[in-house]
Amino acid sequence: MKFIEARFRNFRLLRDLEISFSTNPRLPLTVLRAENDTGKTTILHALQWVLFGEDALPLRGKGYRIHPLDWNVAESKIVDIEVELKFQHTFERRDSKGTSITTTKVYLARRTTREEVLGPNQWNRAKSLFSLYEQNDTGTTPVTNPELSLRQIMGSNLRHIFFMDGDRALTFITSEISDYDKRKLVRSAIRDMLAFEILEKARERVDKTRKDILTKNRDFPKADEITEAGSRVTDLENQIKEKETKLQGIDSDLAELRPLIAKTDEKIKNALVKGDKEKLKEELSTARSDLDLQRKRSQELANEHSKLFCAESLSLHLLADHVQGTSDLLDRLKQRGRIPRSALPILREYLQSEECICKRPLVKGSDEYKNVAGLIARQESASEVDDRLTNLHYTAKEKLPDPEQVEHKWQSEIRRVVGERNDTEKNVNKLETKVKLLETTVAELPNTDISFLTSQLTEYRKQKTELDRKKGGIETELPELKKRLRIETIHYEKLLKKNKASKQLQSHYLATADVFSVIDKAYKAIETSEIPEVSETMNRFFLDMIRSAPEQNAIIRRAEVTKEYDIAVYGPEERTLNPDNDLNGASRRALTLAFILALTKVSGVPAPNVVDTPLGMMDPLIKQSVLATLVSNSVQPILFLTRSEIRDCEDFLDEHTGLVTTLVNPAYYPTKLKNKPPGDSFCRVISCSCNHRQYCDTCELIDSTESSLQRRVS
Amino acid sequence: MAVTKTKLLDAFNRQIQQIEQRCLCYREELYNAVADIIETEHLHEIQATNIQQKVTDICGRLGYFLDKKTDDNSQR
Repeated sequence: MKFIEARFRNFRLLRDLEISFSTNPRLPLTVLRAENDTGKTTILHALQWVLFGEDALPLRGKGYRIHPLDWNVAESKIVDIEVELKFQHTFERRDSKGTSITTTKVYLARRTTREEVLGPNQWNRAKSLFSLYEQNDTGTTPVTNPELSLRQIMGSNLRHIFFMDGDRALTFITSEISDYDKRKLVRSAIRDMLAFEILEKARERVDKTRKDILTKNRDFPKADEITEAGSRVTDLENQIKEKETKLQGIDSDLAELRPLIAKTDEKIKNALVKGDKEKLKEELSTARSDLDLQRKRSQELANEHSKLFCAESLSLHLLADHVQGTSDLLDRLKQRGRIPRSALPILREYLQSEECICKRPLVKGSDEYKNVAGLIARQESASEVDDRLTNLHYTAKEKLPDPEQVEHKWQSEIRRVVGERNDTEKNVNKLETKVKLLETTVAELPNTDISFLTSQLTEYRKQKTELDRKKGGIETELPELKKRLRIETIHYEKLLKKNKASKQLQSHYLATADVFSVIDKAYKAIETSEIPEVSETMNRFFLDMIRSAPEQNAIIRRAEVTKEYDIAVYGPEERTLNPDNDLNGASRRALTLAFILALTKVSGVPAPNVVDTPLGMMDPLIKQSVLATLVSNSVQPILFLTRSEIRDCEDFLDEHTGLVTTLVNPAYYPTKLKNKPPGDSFCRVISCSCNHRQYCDTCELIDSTESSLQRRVS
Repeated sequence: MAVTKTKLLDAFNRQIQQIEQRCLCYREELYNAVADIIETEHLHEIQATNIQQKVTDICGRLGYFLDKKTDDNSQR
């Protein structure tokens, strides 16, 4: 930031004043030459007011009158107050490649307010209005958010650095305030200039972001969990694949097996259509066996047939009449009691037991008893012939119990045998035919091993059953496995998604950690290096200003900003020098100026240093040194100097001053001013363009020192 | 801002060179992120903003960049 020009209206003594500032980098110094009570401090306040508002005024504006002291209330109680400041600012930035890019813009800042004068020491001041305009070739453009835009150019916390009242420049070192407050001021100045607070806050916020990420990351799955879930999915997929492969294999086997079964079945059927050779063979064997049996039976029957012609029954059949005649004779004999003799022992036994053969009792003396006894008596008297006749009789009776039956028996026998023989012969013929047929058929049949085919078919069917069983099992398991796979896959994908989010979060964390690291380390580096650099620079400026040569046994050897933020000064053997007691006024001012200048230099902030009476209490050499240091190290030094401050510095000012404006207060006519200033009001500052070596009718003093100056012709 | 942005950013740049180049153009993006955060903080000094969220968003932007680049690399 560089001031270009300022205009003041009704700001205390500054009723209508315009001043310009040097922006020439080769002649950077602007001097406002003014004696005491000529508005220097007022200009300082006004410049701060336009930039920073009420807070920049003494007492933060409370009880601080802005309107001119001699305002004519009769004309108007309302005083319109305005300060304008035209300045330029160079915006700089570096792109990511480190290339510096600068843009310079010109602005007009205007602050206005209105005070209502109520009485000699009473007034009401309205809230000031601030506006900012950008000036360019095309005209003036109002800037939106003027306060915000201005703060970006110059923060309000830098006011004390860039605007310094020389008389109050001892704040950092004076004993009028406590050490704690001094440290606080020094610390505050350093922190503000080196943006520590911004860095600290940035670091804190980034750290919070980092910690928030860590908290979020706890909700994410661990690698193990994901791996396990993935493994489960893989296992299931493998199982399914294995089962499907098996299923395919089974289907393939079944596909092979089905035609085999069909083919084998076909073969068997075909073979069976023609005839089961084995069965036929069996049948043939059975037929042969049957034939043998029949033949054997036929032989037996033939034998039986032939035997019938030798059988007794045939004799009986043929001799039935004769046997019957004999039997009749024998019956007659029996009737006569001549036979049978062979029953005598039996009869005697029954008589003795007094029981008949029919089991009826034989009571002695009964007719039955007498009959049996008589029969015995007759038998005892019979002959051997009679015995033989008896045998014949009974034999005849035995052989021919029924003559009709005798005849029928042989006939039925012969009929039976003959019938059987015929049947058997028929069977034999049938069987022989059958055997022959079977033999022919069997001979004609191909050698199809139906039993082998059948066993093969059975085996095939068994295999098919087994395969079907396995297939059924797999087809039952597969849907279940697939269902589980779906569930596990969803779970795994959820974990992956969370993991992806986690991965994103991890990237977020890494990035945030890197940001934190950069800010933190930069902060520490600045703290470590910049503060010592401020201290060192301050020391160098200070020693230059006071022309101290430590190596030449100067009393003041060095100054530093300690870690505790004290501004300390050391004498010989590092003895601490008390600024209040051990430093003169000039050194104290020089020390403060050196500190502020060092801060400005180290921070590299391009802002004007507006200093009111910086050279008070300084001898010429010190003044020159201070000026030299100020001009060399300030971007735009703007110094409010009295003539006594300027004295002995004219040569230096010749070389470095870009603009000098002389200010006079007409109120000091004729006590200080030689000539009556133009205008009516005495409570206002007027200016002329006399430089540090000139005077004119406006600014000529009655002081004898004017003899060193040249009259400027207006 | 008090200290010049250039000075601050130079300080950041020195630190950034010590950071691992996690992917192509990572350091450049890191630089941009840090610069944006400082700018945001500076603006917040002047006018209250939802600063924490903004800082988180800037870090998130860098994180997204890193994640995407890392993803692209892994897919290759």
